[in-house]
Amino acid sequence: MNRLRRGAALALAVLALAVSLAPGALAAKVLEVGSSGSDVTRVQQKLIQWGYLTGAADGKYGEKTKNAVAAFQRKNGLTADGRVGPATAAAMGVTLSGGSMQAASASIISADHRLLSKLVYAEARGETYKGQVAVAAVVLNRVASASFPNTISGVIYQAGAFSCVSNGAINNTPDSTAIRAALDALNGWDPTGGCLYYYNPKATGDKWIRTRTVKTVIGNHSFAV
Amino acid sequence: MNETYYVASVRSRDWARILNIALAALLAGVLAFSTAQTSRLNEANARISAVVQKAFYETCELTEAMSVNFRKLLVAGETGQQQALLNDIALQTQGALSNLALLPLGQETVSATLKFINQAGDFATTLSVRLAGGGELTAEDLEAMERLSQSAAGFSVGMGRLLDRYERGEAVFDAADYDATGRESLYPITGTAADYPVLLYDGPFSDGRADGEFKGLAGLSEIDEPAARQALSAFIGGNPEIEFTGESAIPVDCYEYTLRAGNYTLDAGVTKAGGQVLYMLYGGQAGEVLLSDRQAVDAARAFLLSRGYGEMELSYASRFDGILTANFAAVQNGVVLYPDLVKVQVSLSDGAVVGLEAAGYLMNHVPREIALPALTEQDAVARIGGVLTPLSARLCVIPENTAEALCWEVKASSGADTFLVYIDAMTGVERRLMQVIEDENGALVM
Repeated sequence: MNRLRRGAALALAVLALAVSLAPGALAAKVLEVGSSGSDVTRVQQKLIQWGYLTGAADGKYGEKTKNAVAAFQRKNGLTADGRVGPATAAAMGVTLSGGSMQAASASIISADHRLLSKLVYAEARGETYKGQVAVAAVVLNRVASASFPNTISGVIYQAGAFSCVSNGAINNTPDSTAIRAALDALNGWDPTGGCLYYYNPKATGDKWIRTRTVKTVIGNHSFAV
Repeated sequence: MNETYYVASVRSRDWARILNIALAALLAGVLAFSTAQTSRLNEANARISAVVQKAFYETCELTEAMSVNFRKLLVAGETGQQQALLNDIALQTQGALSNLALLPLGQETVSATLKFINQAGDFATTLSVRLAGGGELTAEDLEAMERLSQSAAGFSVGMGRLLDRYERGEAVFDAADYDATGRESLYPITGTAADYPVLLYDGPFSDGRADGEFKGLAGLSEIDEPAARQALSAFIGGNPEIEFTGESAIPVDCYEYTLRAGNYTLDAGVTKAGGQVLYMLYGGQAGEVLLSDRQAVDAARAFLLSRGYGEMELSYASRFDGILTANFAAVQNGVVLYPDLVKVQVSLSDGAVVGLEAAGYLMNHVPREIALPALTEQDAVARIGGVLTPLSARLCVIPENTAEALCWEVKASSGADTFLVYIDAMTGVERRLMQVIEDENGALVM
C-alpha cells in the first residue's frame, strides 16, 4: 500500500512536471464579456496603461473592456473579436491564471539576452544583483574590445573563457534576477567600468589572472582589466 | 525432516545457478555497455577533432586570403576595386576571428592575435567607409597595409605548420598552461602584441583610441568619503540609510555604497571628483504596475531637472518587469547631444527613481562649440532615400569613433516602419541609419 502510494505520488510529480514543461497542454482560458476577477483586472490595467481604456480597473469584463480589447487587437494585427485568448494575452504580456504557465523565459527579449542571462545565472547566481550585472557587463566589455571576439556568443563560447561552458552549467534555465541583470547590462549599466576579467581570489589557481589590475571588488569576485 | 533438508539443498543449488547466470548476464551487459560507450566516446572525440581541424584550416585560408588582399590593395588603382578588396578583408577577418576563438586555448593565449585580426578588419572597414565618402587612401594607409599583409602572411604560414603538427597526432593543445614555453611551441597563435604592427586610424579598435576619459569631471576637486555620502543622500532625497562598502576605479575613482530609500535597497557609485552619482542599481521586485509610461517618464524628467541635469530630451523608453528605463540626452541650444546620455529607471508602482546610469553624460558633457550647419534642414531632408517619407528633422551631435559629428536627424517612415537618418550637417554624408522598433514594451532604436 505504502509503495503504491509512493508510486502514485511519483506519477503525479512526473505529470506535474510534464504539464509545466508543456504549457500548451492545458485548455486555454479565455476572458470575455461576463468574466471577472484578477485576470480581468490585469488586462484592464494594461489597457489603461496604453491608453485603450479610461477609468479604473474594476475586474469586470463589460462592453467597454471588450471594445478596448478589440482596439488593442486591431492595432496588433490580431483577430479583433474582443475576447482575450492565449494570443491576445501573450501580446499584452499578461499571464492568465489557470491557463498556460508562463516560464521566466517569457520576458527574455532576444537571443543575445537569453544567452547572456544563462551565463549570468551559471557564473554568478550566488552573487548580489550588482555582482550579476557586473558579470554580464564583462561579457559586453569583451565584445567591445579588440582582444576578444565581436559577438556575445563568440565571447561566451570562446574556448577556455568561462568554466560554466566547459562544465555544462550554462545550460541551466536562468532565473528572473539573472534575466534582469543581463538586460540592465545590455542597457548600459556597468558597475565594473569597463573591466574585461573577473575571478574569485579565494578559488582561482590561475596565476596569470592575478597579474591583472583589479578595479573593483563585488561580492566574491575581483574585477580587473 | 529429511525432505525439508532435500528441498533446502535444491534451493541453495538453484540459487547458486541463478546467481551465476545473473552475474554472467550482468558482466555481458556491462561489457556491451562499455563497448558502446567507448565507441560513442570515440565518435564524440572525432567530432570535436573535426571542429578543431575545421577551425584550423579556415583560419589558415582566411588569413592567407587577407594577406593577399592587402597586397592587391597596394597596386589596385580604381576606387571600386579598392572598396571591394577592403570589404572582402572585413569579412575574412570576421571568419578568422570566430575560428580562432574556437581553438582549445585559453583566451589570454590568443588575445594579442585576436586583436591583430580585429584591428585589420576594423582598419579595412574604416578605409572602405572613407572611400565611399569620396576620400582616398594615403601613403600611410599603404604602408600600414604592407605591414598588415606581411604579418598576416607570417601568421598564416605559422598556423599551417601548427596544423601539420596537430594532424600528425602531436598533442599541441594538451599543456595546461601556455606561458613562456607555450609561446614557442604554439607560435604564431600565441604571438604577443610586439609581434604585430601598431595601427593608428579612426576606428573603434584603433590603438590611438583614448577610452575612459571623463571630460564632464575635469577640474572638479576630489572630495572625501563623508562628503560623497552627503552628496548621495541629497541626490536620493528623503534621508536614506547609507552604508559605505568600499572604493573602486570604474574607471574613474569612486566610493561605493549600499543604501535603503523607502522600500528600495540600491547600490550606488559616487565619483571622488566632484561627488557625482555615476550609477544606481536596483535588483529587487518592482511591485504592481500602477503608473502609465507617460507618468514614469515625467517622473524621470522631473528628477533629472531637480538634480541639475538641465533640460534633457527623451530618446527612448522601454518597460521590463514593472520598471521603466528611460534614455535621456542633453540638449544645448536646441541641439540634441547624443553622447551625453543619462538612463533613468523608474518604478511603475510608485514613480520612485530606482536606477541611474550616467557614465555617458559624465564622460562627454561639456559645452560644445556648435558650428553653423552648411546644410539647411531642406537640404538634409532632400538627401534621404527615395522610399522614405520624411516626418520631421532636427539638429543633433552623434559620436563618430573618436570624434563627434553635427548631423540632421531626419525621422522618416516607410510603410509601417519608422527610421532615423543621420545626415552630416557639414558634408551631407549619410552617417547612420537607425530603425525605431516599437512594441508593447516601449520604443527601441536599433
